[in-house]
Amino acid sequence: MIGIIGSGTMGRGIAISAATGGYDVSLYDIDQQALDAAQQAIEKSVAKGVEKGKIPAEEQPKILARIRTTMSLDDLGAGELIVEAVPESMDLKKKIFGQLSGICSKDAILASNTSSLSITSISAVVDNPGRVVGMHFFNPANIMKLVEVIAGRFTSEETVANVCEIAEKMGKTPARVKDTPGFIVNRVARSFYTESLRILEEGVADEAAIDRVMQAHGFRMGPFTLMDLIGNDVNVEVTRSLYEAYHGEARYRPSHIQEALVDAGMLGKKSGRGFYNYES
Amino acid sequence: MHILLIGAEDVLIEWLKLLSPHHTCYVSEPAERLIEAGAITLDEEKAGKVEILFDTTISSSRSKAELLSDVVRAMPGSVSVVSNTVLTTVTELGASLGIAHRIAGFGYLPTLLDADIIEVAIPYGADDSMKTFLTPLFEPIGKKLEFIDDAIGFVFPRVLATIVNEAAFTMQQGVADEAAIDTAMKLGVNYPEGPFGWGRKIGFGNIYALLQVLHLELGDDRYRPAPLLKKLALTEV
Repeated sequence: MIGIIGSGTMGRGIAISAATGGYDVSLYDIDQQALDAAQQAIEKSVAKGVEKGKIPAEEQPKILARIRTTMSLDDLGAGELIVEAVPESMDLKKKIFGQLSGICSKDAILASNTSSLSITSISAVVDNPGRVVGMHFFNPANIMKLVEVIAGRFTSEETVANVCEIAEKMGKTPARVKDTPGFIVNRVARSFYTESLRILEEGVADEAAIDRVMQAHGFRMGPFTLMDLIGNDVNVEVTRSLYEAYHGEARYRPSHIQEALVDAGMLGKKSGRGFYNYES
Repeated sequence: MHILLIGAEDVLIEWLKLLSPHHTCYVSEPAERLIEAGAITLDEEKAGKVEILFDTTISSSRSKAELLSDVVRAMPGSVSVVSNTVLTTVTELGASLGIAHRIAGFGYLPTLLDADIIEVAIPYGADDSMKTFLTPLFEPIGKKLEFIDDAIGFVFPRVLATIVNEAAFTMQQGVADEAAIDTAMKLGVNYPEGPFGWGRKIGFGNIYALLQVLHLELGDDRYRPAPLLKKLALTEV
């Protein structure tokens, strides 16, 4: 059984992936309403998967039957793997991992879906930190194939190998990463945004031209369209957190243009305006 | 149009495949592979027909000026120069050749011709009429022109170079291996190619050279090449 903590967007997607891979799933949250909403969203998402031909129709009831919801953390005690997918707060994550350390068997793997916090730090509260690992899924987690498998300072090779195997059973492709700020994707992808912003700042080309050029070279979306879609507030925050984590490394320097947009409430598509205007 | 091409053989072949079905393409050296790709050897008689001197070399302004100055001097003043200024600016090259009124730049690195866009620039302060001869040159080969303010690296080569550099730093620091980084970028954020895959296609040496020029000219540490990138550049076949 795989236990999942947090029934938000990521928790739901991970639950579907695990159940599709044949695992029984216990989806935990502190709020029954949240669990009910998650249950509905999962049913809808699996139905959509069947509609699109991604999931065989006969699998639909089996997948859904494998997912149970619970408000009792003790129900996760029998899990061979627990994936935590709660908001990005170190205090909250440490509290949960401390509790899991007492509830789960000594050889259960405890994974965090964090995209920005240190696995080594999280593992400090667990009796046997060798079994603590990062399992960073990408949104939507039931669709995106990548899982960054992050080894903290104390994570055992056995834990990493087991998690990679489980990820593969879920239909994912694991990429092994050492615990460092941004892991692979959030770090390497920064240049796509920050260099485009630098080019804009220098007046070399405008947003639309940069987007056209990048798309012409195979990117599905240009950087400015993508930043507007992600939300400039979210995007600049990831850049800022890397800039701080790497102590002011110039490669991660945030852009004043993007910061000004955020200050002006021009967050992108969700607010109606960002680099582009979506109001008309 | 009648074009005289200059550059390394492999690069010339990539260009000739596109240009020779639509333009009359001359080369000064009668290399077999170039002739097969549609080039005609330049002789004294044909030299009079050349309208465009097309320089594909990936190099700095200084070496370009050394390479081109004799050719430019030998050609009539009516011949326009179109040069790959990815490692410099067309303003600098135009000034050093003394032909700012008849030169345009484009951004090229190997395999970037797969895109249907070509990034082009004219010298600072140049007349817009400079733009007019670029359309009949590039449009027949299926390239839409994207005019960029004259700057080192244009847009795509510059962004790509910083992505490949970041990937090299990431690998050098033992965060992940090459395969994991390429897989992660392709599957995590839908990149059409992984940074190392791109580096191999375009040439780590070319990417390293671009970062070095950006680092020198812009004086910003964000362009400092990863030591591993230099090693990849030095050891690539």
